[in-house]
Amino acid sequence: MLSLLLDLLWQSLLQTLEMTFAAGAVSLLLGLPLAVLLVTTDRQGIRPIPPLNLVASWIVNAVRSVPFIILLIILIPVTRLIAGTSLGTEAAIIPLSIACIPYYARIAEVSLREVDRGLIDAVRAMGGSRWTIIRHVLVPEALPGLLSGFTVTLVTLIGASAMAGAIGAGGLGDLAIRYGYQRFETNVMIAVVIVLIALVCLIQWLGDRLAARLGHR
Amino acid sequence: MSAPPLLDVRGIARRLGSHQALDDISFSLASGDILGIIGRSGAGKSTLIRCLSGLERVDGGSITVEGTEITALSETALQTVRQRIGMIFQHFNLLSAKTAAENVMLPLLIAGWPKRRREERVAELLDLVGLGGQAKRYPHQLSGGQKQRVGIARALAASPALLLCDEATSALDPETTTSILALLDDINRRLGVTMVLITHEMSVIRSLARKVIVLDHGRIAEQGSVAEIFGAPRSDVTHSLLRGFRPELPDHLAAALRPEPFPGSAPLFRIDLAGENARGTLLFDLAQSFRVRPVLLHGGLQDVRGVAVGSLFVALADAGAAPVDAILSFLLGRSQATELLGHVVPSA
Repeated sequence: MLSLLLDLLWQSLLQTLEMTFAAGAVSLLLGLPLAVLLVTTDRQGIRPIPPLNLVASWIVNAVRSVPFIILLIILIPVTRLIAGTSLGTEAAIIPLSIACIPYYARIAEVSLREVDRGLIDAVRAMGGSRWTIIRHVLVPEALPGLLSGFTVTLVTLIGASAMAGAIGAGGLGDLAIRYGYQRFETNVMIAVVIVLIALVCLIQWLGDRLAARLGHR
Repeated sequence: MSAPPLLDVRGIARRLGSHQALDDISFSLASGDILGIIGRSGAGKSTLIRCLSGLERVDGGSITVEGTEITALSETALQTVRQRIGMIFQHFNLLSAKTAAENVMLPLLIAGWPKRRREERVAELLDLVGLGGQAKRYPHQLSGGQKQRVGIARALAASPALLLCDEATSALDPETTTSILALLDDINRRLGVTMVLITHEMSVIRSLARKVIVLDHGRIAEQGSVAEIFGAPRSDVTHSLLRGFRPELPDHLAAALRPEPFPGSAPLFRIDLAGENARGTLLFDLAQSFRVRPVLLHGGLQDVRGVAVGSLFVALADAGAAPVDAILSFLLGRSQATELLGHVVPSA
């Protein structure tokens, strides 16, 4: 009985980790460039393109305003198109990513905006191109914040991945609902919660350490 | 010596909202010269230096650097010109994620120098600013003065023709300020870099500038050599900026001053001197020519970039018979400026 529980927990933990880190990686890869776009094309940015900025900002807001559980359902056709199926852990990575790209973009945008304008001026004054400014000023100077924001995004993804259980994605949240809630197995619920707490603490701790190491302030 | 000016500014104007930040600013600067631009806060100094670096656009007029009119260039074309212009900032603006050496290297990366030469150049520059051992330190590990030294090394990295200093010492303590100003002076002498510095501190102008522009409400209130500005300021703004830097009549003498002569009184003159006429036999000649007894009541001379500059407050005792007008015109011919302040009882 105990070994079965541990086996279930382990399977679910792996599924949660897979969803969280895969969707996290996609959010970072696409969310960061989107954040850079939001900051640089702003009226006060280094390459003002207000119409593009407005459209990008509007899309981000639109995706962020839909509750994840609903987004999950709306995106079923898209998921099926990309993954071939709308069920399972891998398939859930797609809606999770789509929800988290704008989420991380907004968080990263805040960090990028906090970069001292004086630093941008200094690099502009030495003849730096916009790309040089992005590569040598915006991203490296905002790095600790970008990393802390990524940690927040990962933790949020752990939570969101529980909802993905609704489309058969598995994971810890799914385990807690099916065994702990629907079958009244309180010990499963408690075990899941303990694992989730440990997981979040670990990710937060690693994220904080890394951010502190990269910050030269 | 009619080389084209390194920097030529013609009638530039800049509006910020409804505020005329700069209005009809013209000046030119020869290669190797040091121009100080001073003004109260809000006078337009920052806007002016940002226009000179092309960080801000002008609404009218032209700025020509080394024969290239930068006001006509696109942002991309400006990038090449800016490699010829170095800039240092009040708050240093060093990249916190890069070491001192990496900060200094950035302009060289931008200018496309090969790796080997970049590294040599960075070591050479850090030595030049006296930070040879600090290459691997991050800005937060450096003191304010050291940060500004990194800033100077960075600004000089790509051997610019023009160095713009934006309140470069305003965030530093007096001792550090002195050492940074000495470093800039040394760099000007050794490398012949032309400099434009903006500041609200006359002490910075006195120890570094050769030419001075006084800005007030976006316009040039006055310009001249540093000795002219310190020796005989003409505008009210300059007078007020120079308060504490020029000898002033002590209060008890000012209080005793009367507009009209009275029994036992002597006319009191303020004589502003600079350069040659500060070293002459002025008082002796005055006594000889007009049979008066010059009584020195107050005054002071200081060295401004190798030129003696100052003011004397001289009462002329026994001047009863002497024509004040003739004395005044004699003094005017031998000084930067002379003013009859009033009449006092000479205490000698």
